Amino acid sequence: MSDRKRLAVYICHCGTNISAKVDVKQLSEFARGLPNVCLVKESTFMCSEPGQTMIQGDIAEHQLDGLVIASCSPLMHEGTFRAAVKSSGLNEYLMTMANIREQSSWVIEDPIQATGRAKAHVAGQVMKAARLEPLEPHRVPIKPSALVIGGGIAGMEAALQIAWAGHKVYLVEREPSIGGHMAQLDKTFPTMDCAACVLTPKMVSVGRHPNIELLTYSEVAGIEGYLGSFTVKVRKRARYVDAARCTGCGDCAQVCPVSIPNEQDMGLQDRRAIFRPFPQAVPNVFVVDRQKESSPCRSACPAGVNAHGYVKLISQGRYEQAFDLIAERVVFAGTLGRICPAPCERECSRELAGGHVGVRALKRFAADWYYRHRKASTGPAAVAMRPEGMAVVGSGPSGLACAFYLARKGFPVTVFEAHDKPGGLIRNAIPDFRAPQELVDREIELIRSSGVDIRCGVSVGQGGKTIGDLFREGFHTVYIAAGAGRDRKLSIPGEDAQGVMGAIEFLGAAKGGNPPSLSGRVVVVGVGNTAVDAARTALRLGARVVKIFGRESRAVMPAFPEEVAAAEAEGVSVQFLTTPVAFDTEGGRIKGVEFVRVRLDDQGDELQFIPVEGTSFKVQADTVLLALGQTPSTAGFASERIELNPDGTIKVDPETLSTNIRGVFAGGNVAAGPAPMVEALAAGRRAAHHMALYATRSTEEDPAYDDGRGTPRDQRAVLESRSYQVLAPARLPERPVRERLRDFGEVALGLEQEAARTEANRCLDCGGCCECRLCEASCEAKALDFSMKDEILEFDVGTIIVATGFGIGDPSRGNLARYGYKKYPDVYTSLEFERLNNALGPTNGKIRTRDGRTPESVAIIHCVGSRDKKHYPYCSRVCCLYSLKFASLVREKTSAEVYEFYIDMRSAGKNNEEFYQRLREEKVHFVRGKVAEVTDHALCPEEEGKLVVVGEDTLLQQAVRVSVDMVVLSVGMEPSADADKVAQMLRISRDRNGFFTERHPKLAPVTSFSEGIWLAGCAQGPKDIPDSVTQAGAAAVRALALIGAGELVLPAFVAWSSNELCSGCRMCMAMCPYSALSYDAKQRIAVVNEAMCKGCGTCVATCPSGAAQQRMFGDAQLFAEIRGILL
Amino acid sequence: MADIYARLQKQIDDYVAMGEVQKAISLLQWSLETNKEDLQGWSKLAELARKKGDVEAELLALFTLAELQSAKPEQWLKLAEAADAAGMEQRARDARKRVEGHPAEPRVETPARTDARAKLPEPRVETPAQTDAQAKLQQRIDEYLAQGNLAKAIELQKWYLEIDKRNRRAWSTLADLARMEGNVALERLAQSMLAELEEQEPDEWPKLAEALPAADTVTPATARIRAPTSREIINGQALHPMIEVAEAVVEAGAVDLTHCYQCGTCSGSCPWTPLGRFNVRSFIGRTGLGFDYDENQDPWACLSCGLCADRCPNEIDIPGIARAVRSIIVKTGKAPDGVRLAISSVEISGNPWSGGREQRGKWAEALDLCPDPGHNYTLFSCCTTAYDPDSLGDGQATVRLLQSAGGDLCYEPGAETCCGDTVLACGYDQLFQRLSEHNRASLANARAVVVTSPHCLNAFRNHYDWRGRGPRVFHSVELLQEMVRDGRLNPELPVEGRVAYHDPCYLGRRNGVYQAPRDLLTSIPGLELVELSKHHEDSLCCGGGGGGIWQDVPKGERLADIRVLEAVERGSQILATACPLCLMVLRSSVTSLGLEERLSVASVSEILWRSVQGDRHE
Repeated sequence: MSDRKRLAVYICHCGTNISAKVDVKQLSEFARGLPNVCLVKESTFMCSEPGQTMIQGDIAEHQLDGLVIASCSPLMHEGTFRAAVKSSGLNEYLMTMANIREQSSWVIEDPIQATGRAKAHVAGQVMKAARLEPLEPHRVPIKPSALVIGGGIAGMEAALQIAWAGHKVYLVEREPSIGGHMAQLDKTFPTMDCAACVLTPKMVSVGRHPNIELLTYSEVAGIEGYLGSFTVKVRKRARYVDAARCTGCGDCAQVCPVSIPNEQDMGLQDRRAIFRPFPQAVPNVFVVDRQKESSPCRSACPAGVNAHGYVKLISQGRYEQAFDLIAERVVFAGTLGRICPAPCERECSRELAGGHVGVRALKRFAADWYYRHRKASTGPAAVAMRPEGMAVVGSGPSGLACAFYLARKGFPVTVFEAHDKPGGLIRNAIPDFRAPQELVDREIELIRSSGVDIRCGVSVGQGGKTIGDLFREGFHTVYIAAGAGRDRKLSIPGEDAQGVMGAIEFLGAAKGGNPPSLSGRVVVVGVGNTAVDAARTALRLGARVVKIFGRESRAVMPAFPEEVAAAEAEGVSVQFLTTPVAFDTEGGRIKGVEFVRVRLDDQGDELQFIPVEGTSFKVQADTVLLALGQTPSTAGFASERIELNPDGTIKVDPETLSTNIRGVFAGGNVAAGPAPMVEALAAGRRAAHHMALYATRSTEEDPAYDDGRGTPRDQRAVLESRSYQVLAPARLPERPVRERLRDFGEVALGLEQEAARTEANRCLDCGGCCECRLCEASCEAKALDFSMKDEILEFDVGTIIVATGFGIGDPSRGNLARYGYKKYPDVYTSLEFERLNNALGPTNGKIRTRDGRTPESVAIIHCVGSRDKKHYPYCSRVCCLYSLKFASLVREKTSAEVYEFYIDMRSAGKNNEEFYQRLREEKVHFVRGKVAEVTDHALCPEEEGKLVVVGEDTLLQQAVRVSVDMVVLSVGMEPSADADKVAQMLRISRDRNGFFTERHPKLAPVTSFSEGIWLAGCAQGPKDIPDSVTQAGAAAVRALALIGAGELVLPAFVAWSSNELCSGCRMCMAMCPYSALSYDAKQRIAVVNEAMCKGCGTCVATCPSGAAQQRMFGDAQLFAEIRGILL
Repeated sequence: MADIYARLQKQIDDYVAMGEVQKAISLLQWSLETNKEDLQGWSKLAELARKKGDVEAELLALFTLAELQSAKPEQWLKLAEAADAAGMEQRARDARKRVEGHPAEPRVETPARTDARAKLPEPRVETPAQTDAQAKLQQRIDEYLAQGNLAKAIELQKWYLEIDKRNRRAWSTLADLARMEGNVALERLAQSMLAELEEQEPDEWPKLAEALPAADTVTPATARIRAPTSREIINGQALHPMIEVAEAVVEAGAVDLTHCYQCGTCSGSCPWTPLGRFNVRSFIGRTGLGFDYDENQDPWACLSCGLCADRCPNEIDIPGIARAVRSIIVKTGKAPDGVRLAISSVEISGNPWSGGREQRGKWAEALDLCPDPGHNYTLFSCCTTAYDPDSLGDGQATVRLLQSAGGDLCYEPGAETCCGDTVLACGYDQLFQRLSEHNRASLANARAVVVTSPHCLNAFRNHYDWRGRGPRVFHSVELLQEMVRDGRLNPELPVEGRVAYHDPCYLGRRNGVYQAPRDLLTSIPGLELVELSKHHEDSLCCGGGGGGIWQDVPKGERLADIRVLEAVERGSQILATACPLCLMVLRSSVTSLGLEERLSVASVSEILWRSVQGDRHE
C-alpha cells in the first residue's frame, strides 16, 4: 500500500431519504475508523451550495488527497461534485461516490441492514479512493453542423432553430415533401386552427433558409464516426424529375395513366405515378414513383414486354404508342396477341379480383388497330449504318425478331428461308382461323420495311448453303434460327401406314396450295395446341368424326383451355389419360388405333404416365394425325462442327446464345427445343443484342442484356393496398360454330375500342410507374430524366437530431377486427377521418359516408389498441383530444349526433379541459365504456342499414347498442416502421414499446444514450404538436450548446489497451457495443478510440491477456473496493 | 453492533410491555436474522409465540434452539410430537429424521461467516407458515369475533379455509363457529371435512358428497334483534372494502384480478350483459374490493366462453377469476344444486350424468373397437357422448368415419373417467386433480388421443400436467379434415340444404380450431355453408359451458335460443356443431321452441357420415 493518504468522507442525509433509514451517526463513526480517513462530515444536502462550499473549503484546509461522497447515485450528482472538487484545485477524479440511497436506504426495509450495507459501500469507496490517480478528461472537437433526420414538425423546428443560430443543417426526409403527419391533419386541438395554415409558413422557411440543406426523398444510409465528427451517408433516391427544371406545373400528372392510392390521403383517393404529395409540398417538385418491384405481368413475360405500359396506354386511347411500346420488345405483335400462352395473365393481380386483365386480347387490339390505321412500315432505323453484314438462318419468329432488332441497330441483315414464304411455323403450322395469313404478311412487311432483306427458297445447313458459305460470302455474324419443324415419331408398329401423318406436316399441307381432303374418322394423338389445331383443321377439311386422344388430364394438358373448349364446341371429342400402343393396319392402310388408359404419377420432378393394365381399347380411324411435339433438323449444322445437345438441339451459352463457333449464334426452337413463340422472340432480341456487341467488339462496357423483367410485386400486397371493385374480364366475341366451320376465317374476333379501354382500365397498376413516358412528352420544361440514378451523398456533421416520428397501426389486426375496420366501409381510422375533413381530401372536406350521405350519427371509439397489452400497452396521450376535435368538427359541419366511447377522458394540458367542457356543452354524448364490437347485424328496425356500436355504459351499468352511420377509430401512435433500423444505425436504444429511449425521463428528456445524438418529437414517445415543437427546440438547444462550446469534455474513465500485453486477438472489437476499438494492422494491436468509449468495461472483461484496462476501474482499485466491502 | 442490538432488545421489551406482541415478534425475528446464535432471543421468541398462540413460530424457535444446543434425541422426539399435534407434518418428519441415524452435527459457525451472511437478507424460515393473506384474514376473524360479529367471522373463516384447505384446526374452528351461530348444515359440513381429513381415505369421498347436497339448508345468520345505533344508520348501504377476501381470491388462482381497470370490454362483450343476467365487469370490480355479490354478479352465471378474456386489454383470464371465486364457494357448500348433483355423480361414477360406470362403453358396442392400446389412435369419449342417448349418434358417426378412412383406433371405456374440464371450471380443484391423475395414468401409453368433445380437448391440451410426456391430442374434426384433404374420405353423396355452423367456444376460441369443421362441411356436395352473425373468434356461446349445462336458465334468457332462431332466420335446415354439450343444449332449445319441423341439430361428423356412407355401401 502506498503512503498514507488524507481522505475525507462526506455523508449526505439527502433530506430524510437516507437518514430516515440509515443510521448516519453510526455510519460516520464507522467511517472515522477506516484507514486513511482524516475527516468525516455529514450534511443534510451535500449537493446544495453549502455542501459544495464545504468540500472546497476542506480540500484546502485539510490538504485532502481524495474524497468519498456517500449520497445518491453518481448518475445524479457525480458531475456536481467533480466540478466542486475541480474548482478547488484538486484533480476531480480523486473523488468517488458511495451510493447509499438507491443501493441502501431506498431498497432495504430493515434499518440495521440498510446501515450495514451503507457501511460496506463507504468502506469500499474509501479503500478505492486511496488508490485513485489523477486523470485528464478527454476533449473532442465539435464540427459546427448538424443533421436532422425527419422533416415533420419536430424535425423542421429543430432544423430552423439551428439554422437561425447561423449553423449548417442537413435535413433528411424520406418522403418527397417535408411536413410529416401534421400536413395530413385538418384542424388542431384545442384551438381548432387550421394545421396547414400554421405549418405551411414553417415549411416555406425551411425550404428557403440558406443554412438548411434540404434532402427530401432521401434516407440516411449510414452513419460512422462519433460525437463531434459524424460521417453521414445519405441515399438520395432518384426522382426522375430534375428539381432545377421542374416548375411544379403538374402537366405531367395530367397525362399519367397510372392510378395508385395516395399515401397522403391514407389511400382514400388515388394519385398518379408522377406526383407531389400535396399542392403546398416543399420542395415543389414532382417525383416519379418507380418502385423496385415491377408489375407481375411484366416480369412474367419471357420477352419482358411492358404489358403494364401498353395496357395503360390503351386505356388512354393511345393505341399507336401502345403498339410502339410492344415493338420495343417483340415483333409479330398481332400474331402473339392471338396465340401467346400469355404467362403475364397468369400472374395478373386482378386474377384475385374478378379475373385477370385480358392482356393478350389488348395486345391483339393494339396490333390490329395499328395495322388498320397506320402504314405497316417503320422505315429504316434512324441510326448510322454499320458495315458488318448479318446473316439469319430461318425466318420464323426468332430469326425475324433478331433481324428486326439488328436492323434497328443499323446492321444490314439478310434472312435466308428455305420455304418459299417467310414466317416459319407461324406461316406453316398455325391455321388461319387462329392467325390469318394476311396478318402474318403485314407483320413481316413491317419487319422488311425496317431494312431486313428476306431471301426465300434458300436453304442453309440442310443441303443448300453451309454456314461456312455465309462467312465466305462476307457475312460477319450468323444467327441460326432454323426452328424445330419436324414431327416427332412414336416408334410403334404401323406408324408408317398410309393415312398416318405428322400434325405439322398435315397443317403445312392444309395451308399450302393443295390441301388434302378428308372424310370419315380422324384420330389425333396428343393434346397440345398443335393437336387441337390439327383436329379443327381436319373438321374444316371434311372429316366426319374427329377425336383427340391425349396422355395428360384436362388439368395438366399443354393446350390452352379456351382452344380445347372451342374445338369441343365445334364437335371434336377429347379423351384424356390415354396413350396409343398399336396401329391397326390393313393392306398398308390405317384402320384403327389401340389405346391403353394411363394414370398420372407426379412423384418425381416430371409427370409420369403409367399404363393401367387391362384397359386397352380400339378406335377406328381413317386418318391418324400424330401431334407429339417437334424436333429440329440440325444434322447439317453438326457436320460443320457446331456442337449439339443430346436431344439434337444446338448447344448455346444461355446468356449470349453464342455457339461453340465464333461468330455463330443460335436461338429459338433450334436451340431451346419446342417452346412458345414468345420465348423464340425473346431469344431473337437477346441474340441481336449480343451479336451487335460481338460485331462492334464493344467489350469494355459490355452492357448486360436487359431482359426487362425485374422482381414481381406481391399480388396480395397490391390488393391489400388498393381499393377496387371486383369486375369481370372482357370476353372475345367468337363467330358462331356453324358459320366458322365453313371456312378458315378467324374464330375469335378482336375487342372493340370501348371494350378494350374498359378492359385496360381494370389494370391495378401493381408496379407504380408503367414507363409509358407520356409525362416525358408532356413536360415543356424537359424536366423528366428516366436515366436518373439514386445518389449517395456524404458529409460530416458534429451532432444529430432524430425526429423520425411515428406510425399508425392497422386496426383490423388481431382482436381489433371486431371493430369492423376494412369490413365496413364507413369505419375510418383517425388519420383517414382527418383526410375526410381536409379540403384536399377525397370529399373536399365534407363529412360524407362512402356512398355520399351526410351522417346522422357518428361514433368515435377511443383507445383502439391503446392501453391494451395485446397491442399498445401505453396511452398515446393525444387521442382523447383529437377525438374531441373530431366531435367538434362533426357538430360544426353536420347536425349529426356524436357518441364518444371512452375509458378515461385524459384532457390534461393547457386549455384542454376547457375544450372537453365545451364539447359537453355542444351536446356531444359521452359513454364511459370500451366498445365490445361494431356490427351491421340489425336486431331492430332502427338498426337496419346502420352500423351498431355494442358495449356497456359502465357508469350506468347498462348494456348499450348505438346505431350510427359512421365510426371513427381513435388509433394510438406506434413507433415508425423503421425505428429499429434507425436505432441500430445510430446505436440509440428503444424502450419496450419501441420508441427511442431518453437518457433520463425528467432531467434528460431529449438526450439519447448515444453521445451527441438528440431526440425530438414522437420518435421518443407519443406527444402532441406543442410538446413536439418544445422538445425539438430543446434538442436544437442541446445541439447548439455543443456546437457553441466547440469541444466536448468526456469523462476520463475510459478503457485503454496496453500495447505490450495486447496479442491482437480482436475479441474486444467483437464485444464492444460502441465500436470504440479498432485494429492497428501495422502494430497488430487493438486501439481504443477514447471519444467513442463509454467506459462500460466489456473489453476489459473480454480481454484474455489483460491488456484492456479501464481508468478509475483498474484491478488494484477494484480489488481494494471489494476488500472494503467485505471489511 | 452491540449497541444496536441492545437498542433492539429494549424496543422488543417495550413492545411486550405495551401488549404489542405481534410487533415484538416481528422485531425479534429481524434481530435474530442478524444474530442467529442468540439463544436468549430464540427462547424469548418461543415464549412470545406461545403467548400469541402462533404455534408455527413457537415451533420454529424451539427447533432452532434445539439445533443450536445440539439437543438430545428425546428432546427431538418431544418436538416431533408437538409438531404432530400442530398438524405440521414436515416439521415432525424433520425432527424424527434427526433421531434416526442423523444425529445433529454440532453447528460451529465462525463469526466471520455469520457476519457475511448477516449482510445478505436470508430467506425467511423454512416452511411457508401462514401467507400474508392468511395472517391478515386470521387477524380480521379475531377482530370480528372480538366485536361479536359472528356472521362475518364465519364468512371469513370459509375464505381462510380455501387457502389452507387441510388445516384441521381451521375446520374445527368453523364447526365451532357454526355451532355458535346455530347453522347445523354448515357444522355438519365442517365436521365431515374434518372427518375426511382424518381418514384420508378416498373411499370416504362419496360419503362427503352425500353430505353436500344436504348443506343447502344453510340458514342465514341470525340477526340480533336490537335497536340500530346512529352509526349503523349512517353506514346504511355503504360497503367497507374487504381486501383480505380479494387476496384470498388471488391466492385461489385469480392472479390477475388486480389488473382490471373497469373499461367494460368484458361486459360489453359478455352475452349475459344485455340480458341483465350477469355483469362480469361489476363482478370483477366487486371481487377486487372483496364485496358481496348482488344478484347480477352471481359467479355461477359465467359460462367460461372466453370472449371477454380474448378481448380484455389487460389480458385478464376472466373465467379464471370466476373459477377461483367458485373454488372458495364450493368449500362452503353453497354451489348451485345442479352443479352439486353433477359433481357428486362425477365423484361416484366418473360422469356428471348419473350413469353407471359399467354402462360407459355401451354406446360403442356395435362399433368393433378393441381396447388394445397398441393402435395409432386412442379414442376418448366425452361423458355426454357415452351417456346421452341423443349424442351417441355423433360418437358413432365419428368412429365410423375414422375407421372407414383407415384410422387405426382403440377404445377402452373401462379406463376412462370424466376429463374434468367443467369440474375445474366450477372450482372443484381437488376433484379435477384426481380425475386428471386417473386419465393420465390410463392414457400413459397412448400415442395419440382422439376426442369427440372440445372440453376433453381443452382439459388434455391446456390443463393436464403431462410432465412433458403427454400424447398428441386431436379433436375428431382435425383428423377428419386431414383425411378428406388426403382423399382417404370421399364425401360423395350430396346433402342438400343450408347448414349453419355454430363454433363451440372450447373448440374455437380456446383451441383455435375454426377451419377444420368448415372445410369438412364445404367438402360435402350440395351443402351450402351459412355463417351466423357471430362466428369464429366472435362466436356466441350456446350457454352450456363453464357448468352452464348443469344449471337451468329461464326461458327468454337462453343463449341457445338466440342461435337456433337466427339459424332459422337465415334459412338453414341444419344447425351443425362439433361439441356434445352444444349439441345437447341446441337440441333442447329446438324442442322447447317447437322448431323440430324447420331445423335439426347435427354434429359435423353426423353430416359428413351421411355424405361418405354412400361409397361404403355401393
